[in-house]
Amino acid sequence: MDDKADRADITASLAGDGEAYRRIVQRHQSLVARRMRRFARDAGAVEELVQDVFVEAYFSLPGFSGKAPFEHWLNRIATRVGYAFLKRRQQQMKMAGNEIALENRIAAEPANADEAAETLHRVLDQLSPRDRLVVTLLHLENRTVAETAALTGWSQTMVKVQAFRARGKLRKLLERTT
Amino acid sequence: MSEIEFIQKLDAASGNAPSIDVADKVIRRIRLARPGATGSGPMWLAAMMSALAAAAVLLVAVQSFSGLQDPFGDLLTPVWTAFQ
Repeated sequence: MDDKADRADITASLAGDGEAYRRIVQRHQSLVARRMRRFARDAGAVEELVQDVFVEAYFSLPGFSGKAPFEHWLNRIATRVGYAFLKRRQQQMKMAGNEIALENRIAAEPANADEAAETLHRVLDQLSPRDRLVVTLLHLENRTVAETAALTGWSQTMVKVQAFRARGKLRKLLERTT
Repeated sequence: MSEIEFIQKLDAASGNAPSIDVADKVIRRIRLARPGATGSGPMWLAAMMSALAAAAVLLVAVQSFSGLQDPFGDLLTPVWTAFQ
């Protein structure tokens, strides 16, 4: 990703140039969408989350120090937005009393991409937001413990403990259903 | 297959994210959240212009009022004359 172009457009955005911020969004939206797709299944919800990330990023731009590449900074915001979505969603499902129970058996060999995505979300929906976040970052985005700690704001020890618990829950869940 | 391999396999099988373009919607939401942002020049300029406009309205209002009751005497007359 072109960090030099990002920095020039950030300076212009801070001076009120809307076109500069539009260019930033266009450069990074695919990457953010790919990440948000792991937090939400529905295409509309994914798009909403991508928008949330860029709106939050815009209003936080004055706080961007420029020490790390813009993409790293944006990733932290995307993680925060995704995690907040998971927590909100879990609360809504609890209040509505319709927590999604995993079916007795889940397909180990999904027929197509849509079914694979559906199954993945159904499995991950069974985890708490913290467990799901750590599994997503460590095992689906293949980030290191240090990167996961930086993105979540947790300590590396906390990341390891959380990941150990999450894997245990996932294992039990899949033993019952596959 | 371990639990991690299982979800990784599902993730890989779920294909690529469809391309999206949210730029217009993002800019619109920012403008709604903060009118004046991302558009017509620096924000401090917009704030200064609106402060000047408010001061001018206040001045005219005070001058009109003073025309009826003369609370400031001739104090604002030079300013008022300059505006005219």
